Amino acid sequence: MNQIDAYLDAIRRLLPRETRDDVVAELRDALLTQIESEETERGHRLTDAETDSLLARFGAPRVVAARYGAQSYLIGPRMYPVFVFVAKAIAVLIGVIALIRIGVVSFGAEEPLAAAAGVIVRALVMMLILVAIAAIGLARLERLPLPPLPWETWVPRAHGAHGPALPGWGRRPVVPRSETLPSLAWLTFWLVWWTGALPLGDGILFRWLPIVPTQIVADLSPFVIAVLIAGIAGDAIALAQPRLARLHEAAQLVTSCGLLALTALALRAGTLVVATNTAAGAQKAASVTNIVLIVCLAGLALVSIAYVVEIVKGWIRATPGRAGSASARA
Amino acid sequence: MDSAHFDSLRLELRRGCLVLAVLAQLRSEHYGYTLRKELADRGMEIDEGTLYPLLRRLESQGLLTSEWREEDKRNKRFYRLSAEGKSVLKGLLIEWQQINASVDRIVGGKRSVA
Repeated sequence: MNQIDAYLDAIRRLLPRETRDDVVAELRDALLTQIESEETERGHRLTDAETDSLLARFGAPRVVAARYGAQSYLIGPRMYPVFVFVAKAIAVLIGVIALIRIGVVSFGAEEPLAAAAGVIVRALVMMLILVAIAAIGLARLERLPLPPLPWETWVPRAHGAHGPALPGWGRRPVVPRSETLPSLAWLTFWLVWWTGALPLGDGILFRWLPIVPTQIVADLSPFVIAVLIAGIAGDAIALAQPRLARLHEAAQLVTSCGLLALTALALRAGTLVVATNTAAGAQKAASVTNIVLIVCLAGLALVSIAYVVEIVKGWIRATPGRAGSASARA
Repeated sequence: MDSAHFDSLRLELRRGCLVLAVLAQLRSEHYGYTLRKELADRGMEIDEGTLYPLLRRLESQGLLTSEWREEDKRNKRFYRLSAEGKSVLKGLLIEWQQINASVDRIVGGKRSVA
């Protein structure tokens, strides 16, 4: 394989399958024509060094391929703001959980520093894994033909100088029913499921898997019910009186703080289900279920933290002193 | 003057004009090499790594048509302005003249102030 073939082959491998033959055929002609022209000009066949220099002028294969529109980035301009938001939220969530865990494991431990170091290492690994999962998910979304996202539209009078907040949160005069109705249905479903009116948990999870919930799940049950009822009450009030946005936010704040506290207690317990027998398969099912539940709880806590932060930020922005100083600046 | 900044701004400025130059040049049929050469002869240097992807993009936008044809014992891809390309070029030329006139007025205004 000569230099030209090697160069074109390197470009070909980086191009989309459907266009690569056509593009490479055109580039081959362009290169050969250029070489012939230079050979005529110089009066001799190009040496290897001169051919290398010509190829270098043409551009590195990766650069040339990228110019043909091959999407050479993972997260582009549409999803980058979301990625930054999610990455920060993950950092805060893992940081908070790690601090709680450090407090729990260090207290009374024989070697508190070693225990704390272990928590920090696990927290960093978990943070990297979650950021990687978020990056992969957002990279996929970046490549989907999505309609304009809420934070990509901007109405000056409605959104102020900084545009809409990231997933459309912040101070609103009314709570839209399109938001309260699904939330109400969702929380009601979980309440009905948790109280046992719908035998879905036993029917789906514990019938087919050799696992049972641990005592901590029963101990936390009243708190779970209380949190769900607070959320349902907030949504029901907002559904009846959409203008009570501040009350709805207060209920969301209580629900989010409650979820955070529950997550912290569940993570402190560590084990949420145990195997019903000592068989390796049962042990594996229990450990996988525990991991899945903890990841789900971590996700729930992430959303809760985001809600708490957004609600508190909205309240701070809406305080009379802040509003006055903002208008004075304007 | 910071040469890196100047080069980057100069490149940005030229990039905006490249499409116009390529479209205008393709009122008559060319393949990549001759197009690049003609543009260079008229003072609009463009490297191959920029020209060929640009031609393909303009073709995918329907502004150019192309066909493979043999010339000098080798297959070459010939490009020409499409009907839509002609109409876009007409609009772009009007826009270009307006921008030119505006910049002339702005630069001229500054000079008289100085």
